[in-house]
Amino acid sequence: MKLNFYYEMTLTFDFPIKEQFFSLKIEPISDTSQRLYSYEKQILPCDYTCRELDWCGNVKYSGSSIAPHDFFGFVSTGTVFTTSNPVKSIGDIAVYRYPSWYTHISDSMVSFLNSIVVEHFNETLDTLQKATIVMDSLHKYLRYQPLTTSIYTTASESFNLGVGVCQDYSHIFISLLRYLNVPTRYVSGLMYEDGTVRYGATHAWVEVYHDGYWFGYDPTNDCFINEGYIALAKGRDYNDCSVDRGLFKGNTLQQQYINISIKEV
Amino acid sequence: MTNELIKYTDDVNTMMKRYGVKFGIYKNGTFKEQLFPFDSIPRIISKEDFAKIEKGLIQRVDALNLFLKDIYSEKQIVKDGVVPEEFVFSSKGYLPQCEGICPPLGVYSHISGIDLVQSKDGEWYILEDNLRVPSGASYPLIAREITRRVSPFTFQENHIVDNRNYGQLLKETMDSVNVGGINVILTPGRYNAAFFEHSYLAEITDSALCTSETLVVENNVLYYKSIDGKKRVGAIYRRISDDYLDPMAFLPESLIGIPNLMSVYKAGNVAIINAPGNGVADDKGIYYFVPKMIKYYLNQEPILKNAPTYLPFYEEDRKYVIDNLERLVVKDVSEAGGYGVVFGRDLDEESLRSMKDLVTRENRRFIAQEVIDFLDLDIMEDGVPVPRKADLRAFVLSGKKTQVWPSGLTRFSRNANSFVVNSSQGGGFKDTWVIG
Repeated sequence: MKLNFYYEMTLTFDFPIKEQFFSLKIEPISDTSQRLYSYEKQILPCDYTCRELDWCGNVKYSGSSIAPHDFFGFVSTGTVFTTSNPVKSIGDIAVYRYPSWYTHISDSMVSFLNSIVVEHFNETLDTLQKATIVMDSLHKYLRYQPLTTSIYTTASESFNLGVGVCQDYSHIFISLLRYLNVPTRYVSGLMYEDGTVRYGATHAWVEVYHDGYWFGYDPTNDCFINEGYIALAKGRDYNDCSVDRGLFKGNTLQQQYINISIKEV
Repeated sequence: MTNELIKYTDDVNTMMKRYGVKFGIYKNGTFKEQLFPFDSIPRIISKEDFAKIEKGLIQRVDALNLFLKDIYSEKQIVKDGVVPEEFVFSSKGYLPQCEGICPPLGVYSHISGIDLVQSKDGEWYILEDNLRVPSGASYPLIAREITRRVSPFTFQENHIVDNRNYGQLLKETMDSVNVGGINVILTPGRYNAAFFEHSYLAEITDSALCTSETLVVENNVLYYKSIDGKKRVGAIYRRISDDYLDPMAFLPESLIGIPNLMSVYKAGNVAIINAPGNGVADDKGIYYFVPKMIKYYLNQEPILKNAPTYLPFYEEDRKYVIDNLERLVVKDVSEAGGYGVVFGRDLDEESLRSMKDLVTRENRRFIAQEVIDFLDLDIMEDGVPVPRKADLRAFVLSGKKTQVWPSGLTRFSRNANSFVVNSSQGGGFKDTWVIG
């Protein structure tokens, strides 16, 4: 599917801030599953930006705006061709087998997983089928509920609460699969469905490694990823994939405005 | 000779107090500066003995630098099954953000503090490697300077190898990796345990002493904002830990770091001394593998021995540890500074049992070692010499070549029953003389 996307984010401050530094992962990835045809970005205000590939292969723009300012924003727009193909693995996968900051497993998660293994697993299942079973069980267990968890909530915390959003579904799913020694990684991106942008914001999902390829799973919606998903960043967990990371000096209230639109062409 | 020095102990300590030679300690949430007590009786190492130590240290640090280069690129040593994958990827010190970055000259550990002990039979053993930001060189340096002043004859009459070249060695090391610009030392500020050292090292290496307030990234280059304008920084000897180095790459709440420093480093626009990510090579789990690294990378036999160490991770070792726990010392792999160290002989039956359970359950988290019968060193206590446990931190500097500072920090425990010599645990220190 060929998609035109437009992703705009603006922060307004009620009192000017200064010495802001940022790191943005807003440019869609090009790999065997999606290809970026054309791309433009604008970051304002900014003194400089530097484009680099981070260790996970994501495009990262780092930069600063030193002088006092009362708004900050970016526009990331272009055309991307998406498929539901798996992603060919390049580089080392071992790091995705081990727990990361958000994805340490708790005793209650281990017993949850054990009961799935006992009840549903058998020797004929391959990794991907097992992952699907874990995703189904997790989807039944966790309730989608915004505003209860935050961006700092870990997998075990949201598992204990029994509720969460896409970030939490993804982290828990990752913790469970890594415990089964399956390399698994976090993906942040945009999701387009039935002519609209789901969530009106960024979405998160998961890729599971099998036999040289990464396969996309969306535990929040209990489905595999399809042509409606545009990946922006991939990594061990939210920390490696946060779209917008920054810090500034100032005592202020900030308001965030997000406008995302996606159109099929 | 030592009698002469003992006479001056109080004078030396008074002068060190006046110079602000202090060590900060956090206890129950409050910061206290205390003196690092100096004992005048030096540790004496013969030139021959030191030559062997020197050779062994250079070999070890070279292998560790090759290991770091390998881990952050090809990971051949893991692929070849010499070091198990989990010891790399579940190490707190492994920073994937450093993947694919090769620092100038391929040197990761520019300043290595290698801790050794001498056993009663005279053999030297490596206790641990410190490849992150090892501190301590300034203490014996300034103690030597003051001792020379109060007792100049001692240094005329004895053939003591001059150790006043540390600043020169350090400056050479910084210059050799500098990518263009000035050298700076980054300190978290005066409430840091080793602030005295930071300012002293800046002075003797002619570097600018900075906090993060005076360093800024512009156009992917690091600058020092001095009173006479902005200057480009080519090498930064940072005395803050990896976690706090760059809030954009590591802990976002860090206020003492420099935002976007890692991008500058990745682009090759600054040298960071020591390189971030070195923690993967100096944790207590990896220690076990250092002799194997020496064989793997250098095809040499290790010159200096490790203390006999067991990894409960391996079944055979685990069995040995469980059967002999009461005479072993158990160490938590991720702890440092003398924390997380448990002697089996201090445990009652119940604690022994629970320790055995813990070691079995979390077998990657611990190592166990034979307790080495340290050679005690005399220290003066209330005017009489008493024997105390002591270790030696040797400083190894790596730039164009690897060199050992012909001295070191000898730390001792002030408590007669304690093996823990760390200054953060209230120990004292001595000068270390290489003689011949």
